[in-house]
Amino acid sequence: MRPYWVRRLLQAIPLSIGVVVLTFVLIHLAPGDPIATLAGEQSTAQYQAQLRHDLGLDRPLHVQLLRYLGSVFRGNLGYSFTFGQPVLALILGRTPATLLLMGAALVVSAVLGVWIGVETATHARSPAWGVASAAVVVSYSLPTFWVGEILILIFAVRLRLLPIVGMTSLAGYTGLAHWLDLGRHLILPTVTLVSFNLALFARLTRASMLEVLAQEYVVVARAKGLPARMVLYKHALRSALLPVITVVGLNLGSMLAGFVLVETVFGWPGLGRLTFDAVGARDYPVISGLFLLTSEGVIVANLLTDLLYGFVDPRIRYA
Amino acid sequence: MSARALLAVAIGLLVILPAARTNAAPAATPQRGGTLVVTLDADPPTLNPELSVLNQTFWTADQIYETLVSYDASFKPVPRLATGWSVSPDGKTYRFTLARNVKWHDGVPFTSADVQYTFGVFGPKYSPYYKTVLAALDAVDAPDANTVTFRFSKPNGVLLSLLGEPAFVILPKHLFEAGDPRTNPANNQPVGTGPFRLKEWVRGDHLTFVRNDQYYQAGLPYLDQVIYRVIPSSASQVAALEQGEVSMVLATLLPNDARRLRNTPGIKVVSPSVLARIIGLWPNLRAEHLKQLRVRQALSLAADRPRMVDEIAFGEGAAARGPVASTSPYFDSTLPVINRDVPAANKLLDEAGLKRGPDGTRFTLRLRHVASLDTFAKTAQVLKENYADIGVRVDIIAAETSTTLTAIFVNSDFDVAVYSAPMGPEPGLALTQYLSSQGLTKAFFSNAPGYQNLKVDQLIAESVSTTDQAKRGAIYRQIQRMIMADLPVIPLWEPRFLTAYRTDFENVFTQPDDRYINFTRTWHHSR
Repeated sequence: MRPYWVRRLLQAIPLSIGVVVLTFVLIHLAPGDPIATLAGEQSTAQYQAQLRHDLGLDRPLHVQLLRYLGSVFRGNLGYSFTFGQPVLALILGRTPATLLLMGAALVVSAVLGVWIGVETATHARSPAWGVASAAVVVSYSLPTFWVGEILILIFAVRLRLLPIVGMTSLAGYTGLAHWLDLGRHLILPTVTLVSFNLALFARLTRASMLEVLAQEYVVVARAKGLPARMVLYKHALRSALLPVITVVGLNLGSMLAGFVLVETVFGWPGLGRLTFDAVGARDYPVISGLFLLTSEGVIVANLLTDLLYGFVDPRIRYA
Repeated sequence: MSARALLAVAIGLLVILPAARTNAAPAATPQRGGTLVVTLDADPPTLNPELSVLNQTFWTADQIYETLVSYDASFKPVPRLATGWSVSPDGKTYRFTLARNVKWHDGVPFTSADVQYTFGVFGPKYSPYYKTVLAALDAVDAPDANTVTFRFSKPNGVLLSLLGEPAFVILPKHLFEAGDPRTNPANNQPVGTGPFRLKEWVRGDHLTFVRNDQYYQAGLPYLDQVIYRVIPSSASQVAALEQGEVSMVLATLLPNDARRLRNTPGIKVVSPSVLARIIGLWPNLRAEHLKQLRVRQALSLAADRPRMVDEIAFGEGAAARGPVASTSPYFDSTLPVINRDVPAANKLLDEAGLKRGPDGTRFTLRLRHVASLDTFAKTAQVLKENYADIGVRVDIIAAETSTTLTAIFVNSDFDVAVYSAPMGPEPGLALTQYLSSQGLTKAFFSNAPGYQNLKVDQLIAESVSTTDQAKRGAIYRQIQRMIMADLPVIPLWEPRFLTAYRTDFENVFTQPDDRYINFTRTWHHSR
């Protein structure tokens, strides 16, 4: 019997092929034509026909699909004429920026959100925590791009505390200075993303905590005379976190959507912006490549979520 | 002197004194050094302008590569890689003398073989513009290392107006000869003859260009570096300019920001645009009602052009009088201003037999436009309101670029479209493509209205083969009047492509259009 994670990985193979075929067909069925953005408004009909032929777009769809699948199996995701780079290099080049931003946003949202969730659950009647709880919902309801621009206006333009755009300044720092510079650039986009994601963690944790706190083992723990903090964070929170992890794991894919806006506002050179540009240009190889790699990412993230269960709740075992 | 007059003088002095100081500055000697930071709304797809159709490539790569000629502020061709030229009387042969002692950034000498390769081998095969402009080019000869001759099968009147286009930069033969030029590494690591060299390209973030110390024009360029910073959001671009993180927002400034920045000390707003466009309403002449000239005339009369300029462009533009913009050297200034006249428009529609139904509507038009273009969307909204006054209902169909262009050009699936065709620098070329019988191809960027007028066809063909600019201008003016009589396109208003830069830089934008922007002579006041 293979270990659980090996089986899950094997299941991912047909899933991935399904994703490739489905996205390929969907993108090509969508109205629009890459020639519209590639050829240029001063190009002739002959040039456009030539370009269509050179890109293989004049072949039947199933032929294009088979050729694409063939090259994907050889590890070649194609060449992007919109960006003038091989697709794999293009996507890998943009991945670290997004992972960094995603990691920062996730960690901050999780720590802050879980804390707010726990406190609002235990101080249900406190006016201060009531306000905090409401603030979380309000910030969730604000449009992300608007929050981003307001933050830029306040902290970068008026107060001049933080940079407006990009991942690093143009000064070209090295060593520690480089990392500090990167950190300064990371603040505003992270805060913007946190303003949206915080609510997910806070509300879920709160709901889950309320349920757990009513259970008998918590009452027992309290009756034993354990310190309140210990009961909360060691006994109750551990069980309360399970549904939070599930939902966050499932939401990783949709979180990427929020990156499109935030990366555009902050000029962050990541995958969100690349997706937006590629869809606008109908750059089929790049869109397919992005879908393929992000769906692989989601598959892996879900697998990790499953494995994390076992860590949080040792009773869970996978046969 | 009354208190009010005193105050006026005092205010006057306050205004004049700083102005006098800044006005005196250009006379100062240029200083070496400094870094100009320019915004880009997106990464260039490539740094090979011969392979691109996008401004992001032209604005950047034109600092690295060079064209044979460039233009002064009044669009007169001036020497660049070509130091002189002559045209045969029949307009079929152009002879260029090339600059001497020019070297590519890798040290290889630049010669006529590079020009011959670019126009004789690379262009015909890979350049999107080539077939539009140089279709009748028979041969490029290189009699010696510093001379090239272009031979055409029929007279070419527009060559010099186009050779300064960044799309016609000279490429190094020794780097592009072998292999598929479209995937050549030199497309992303360009080796040119120009004043700047590429130092670094961090995709999606910035491109750094440094001074080419071996540049053949002694003492130039003045700047140490030009850095292009990729900032997709217009609001963030303006914020970065105001904060001083960037020195220039190039051609993407929104009109409302421009109005504010015009009053901001230390920032200058300009919009040279010899290539200016017209935003127009393009009717599908195959559609039932739009076949009738009276209906198109009514649509033209009912459009409130000044309102579009005021409310959409915040005054940064002009009401259109014809298909060519008023900033073009070929604009026909005798064309009348079109005033909104609802009763006259209603009368025309009555005469056309299009009676109002019980709900007051005569007929419905499906209007298409590219959703992401804000100016197009707002123009469509104004038209919808304007046309309600003449009993024409407008259903707006806004979709993204690729879908909209496919519907308009390929499938003719529209009644009217808000669209803008590039008419510059030589309207004859765009007219061939967009409004002549030759453009009835159903390809993208073709004759979408389906307009056919043999006299116009003939004049367009004549314009592009006339070498005398004055004669060509006369033909263009005749074409403009014929188009305004037939209305295969209803010109609405002229937008401006606005640029803002910090005034501690000099000689920043001396070209007649952002397409030709070049920083060879730009310099920075070190304070």
